[in-house]
Amino acid sequence: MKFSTFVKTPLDIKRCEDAPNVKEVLIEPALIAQQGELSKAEIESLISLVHERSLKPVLVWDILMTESSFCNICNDLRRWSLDRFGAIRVKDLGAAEWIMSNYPDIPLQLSLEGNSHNVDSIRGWVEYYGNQLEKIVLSIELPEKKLIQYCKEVPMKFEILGAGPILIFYSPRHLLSRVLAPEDEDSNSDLWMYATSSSEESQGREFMTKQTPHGTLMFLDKDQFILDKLENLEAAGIDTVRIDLRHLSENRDAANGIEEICQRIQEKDPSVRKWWPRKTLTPFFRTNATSKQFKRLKSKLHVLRDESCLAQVISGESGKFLTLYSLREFDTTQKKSIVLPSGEELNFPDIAFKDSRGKAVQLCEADSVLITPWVRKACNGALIKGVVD
Amino acid sequence: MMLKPEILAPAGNLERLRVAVLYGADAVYVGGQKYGLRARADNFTDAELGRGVHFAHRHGAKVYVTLNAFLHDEDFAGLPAYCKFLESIEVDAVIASDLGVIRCIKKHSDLKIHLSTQQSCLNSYSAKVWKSLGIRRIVLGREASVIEAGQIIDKTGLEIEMFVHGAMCMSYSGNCTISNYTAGRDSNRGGCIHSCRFEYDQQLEKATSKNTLHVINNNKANTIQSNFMSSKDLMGLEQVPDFFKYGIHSLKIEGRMKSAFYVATTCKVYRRMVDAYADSSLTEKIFLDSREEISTIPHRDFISGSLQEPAGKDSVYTQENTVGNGTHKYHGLVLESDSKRMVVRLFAPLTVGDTIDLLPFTADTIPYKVETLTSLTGEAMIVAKQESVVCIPKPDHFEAVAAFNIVRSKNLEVCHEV
Repeated sequence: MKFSTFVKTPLDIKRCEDAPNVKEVLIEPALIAQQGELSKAEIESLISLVHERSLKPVLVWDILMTESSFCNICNDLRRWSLDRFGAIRVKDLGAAEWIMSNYPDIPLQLSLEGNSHNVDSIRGWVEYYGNQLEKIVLSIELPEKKLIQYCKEVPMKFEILGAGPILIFYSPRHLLSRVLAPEDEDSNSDLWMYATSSSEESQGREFMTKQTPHGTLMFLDKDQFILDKLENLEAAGIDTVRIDLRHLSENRDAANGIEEICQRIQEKDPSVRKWWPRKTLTPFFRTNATSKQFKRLKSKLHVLRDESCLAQVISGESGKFLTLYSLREFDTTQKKSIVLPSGEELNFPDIAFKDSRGKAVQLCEADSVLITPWVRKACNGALIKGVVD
Repeated sequence: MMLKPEILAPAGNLERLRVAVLYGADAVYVGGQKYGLRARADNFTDAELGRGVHFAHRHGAKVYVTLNAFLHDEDFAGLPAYCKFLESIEVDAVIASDLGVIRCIKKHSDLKIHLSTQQSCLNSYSAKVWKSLGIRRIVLGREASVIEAGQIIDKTGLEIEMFVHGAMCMSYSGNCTISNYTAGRDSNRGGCIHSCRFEYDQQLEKATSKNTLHVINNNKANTIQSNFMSSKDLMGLEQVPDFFKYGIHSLKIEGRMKSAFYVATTCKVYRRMVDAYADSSLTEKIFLDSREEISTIPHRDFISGSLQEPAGKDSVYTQENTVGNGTHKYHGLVLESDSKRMVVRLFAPLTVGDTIDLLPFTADTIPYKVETLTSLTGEAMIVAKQESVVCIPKPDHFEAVAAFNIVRSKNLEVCHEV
């Protein structure tokens, strides 16, 4: 099991060299990384240092791009020495495709953190990209048992975020400057802004919000942290655990503390979590229950709207009459019960049906208005169920 | 010959499907009980899907079913059988985001697959990936312009569908998971709680610019309250000529959670604009009338989104109400209509003397002063309550009024989405 982390300075690279099991360093250009600050010249300088220290430099290309932006970026990248990178990590599938077309010998790393939460999807990308794909970055929304399963079943190297901020929102729009620094907005195309955002819905929790030249990012108030829970993942064969320290550095460094934390992990220090300077959580490592509430969101009745559903109560005068709307053609002898919005089902009495003109009907047309005498407990939304073939 | 784009309307239930088709939609998109991104909606049961497809096809319209959630492994139960069911009722296409779902659809059916905007496909190289995976139409991310859409069409040969009207997210589609952590509801499986519409307290920590190499503003500002993530609504009426020019295949209207009034109005307006442009009869008057008509439904302030150029600082909706006012409110739906009378289901009280508008499917709006109201049992009424069903006499020249016509009235107070 290896570790990866971000680097921005020669000091970062030195730290990574000294940190146990750090093998990959992630380099973020201002041109193509969501939080990238490095110029082409700075990157070229860093890569040389990385190579000298037998670390693997990975280019991070994690922005999403519309067609014109994509074309401009690709034109720029053609002037880079991309083959000096050990791998290129992408989020936009177009970026992956472009690399495959133009640089078939550079290994690809695909970030599926946002949109692949099942094994079939992951297998699909492994098959599609073939040998050029060397690693997939998995989502933290996958529980441990799924991560273990995928490590064992899918022939691919995987990476997971072991510690660091959780990205919860990514927009191409510059949302902070409009509100917090409108006077600077137009004059600075590379304005970076850092703010906290909280709402009643978040119960006052302050989410770190960052505006970069590539848009606006929002992070959860607590960091993902599973560095004290890696045993099973390591046994299952997880390739890389990423440690993101960018937000913990006061100056331009990105890897401040990487040596210490890797040392603690290697020593299996049980208090490694206490060392982390921010509050932590492991929201989905045990289980992901973010679809459990959905059943409660739906009305009890709606699932009953099948072929046996004859009509729906749409109005009425209490004690006097009911107005129904027929959902299908039916004979009044088919009627069986009325299901109330609460789910209670009552026998439907043997009463006469009339059309909207007051004429008695036995065969009711579909999509027609019907009137019956009042039925006790009936209310808007109740369904008339019947016996159908 | 220029391609005439399809008008694709949202249909949250069977009633709105019928309204959409009758008001001119060439196609509708609907959700079933599972696998989609609207967990809160009632969505279509299997029986309703069958009826909906039958109705749409009878009127020459298509039906696309959303299977666009990003599923977890355990969510796949039932999906193969569901694909076979959709194929059996002759659904015209399904809309999917997840590669695992797409592989399942292809394995178990021959359904045509459209790629959902949730995948944020924004460029031709990304589109080529999906083309080689069997996708024939892409619902482009809302960050792409019409010109860029045209470039993607030219480079890939794919059909491109674009959102042209309705609510917008601030984030790239599929890239907002706020509700996963604040409400325990997966936004990418239908649980989005619209965190973007809340008011936020914001405090600036730091602002820097590399160019100037100094901190611009390092003072912690006072807390500012803002709806900084709430986007204005998209309206693409002005871009109708561009949709033709760049060969856009489908113009998608957002709003499966929205009312039949919204569906009817948007379909009628975009139908009129597209038809007028297609037969070279689009005038400034038609455009202005359309613009006025589209303002009758509840909406936030309108922008053209990124259809022309990237959405900028004027794209934030800052008003207190999470949804803005329309000039009119949804008053009722005509359930039956014959030569003498209309049977109307009311969604607001109606009093003798009130003036309502009747919206025929294609003809001009008919203002109508209600002189007589009768209950279904024949009793004369002065006031009919909300949720009642009434009979209103139908004048001779109202032959255009039919079942599923919308009834609206001027909005004298704040209007909320039905």
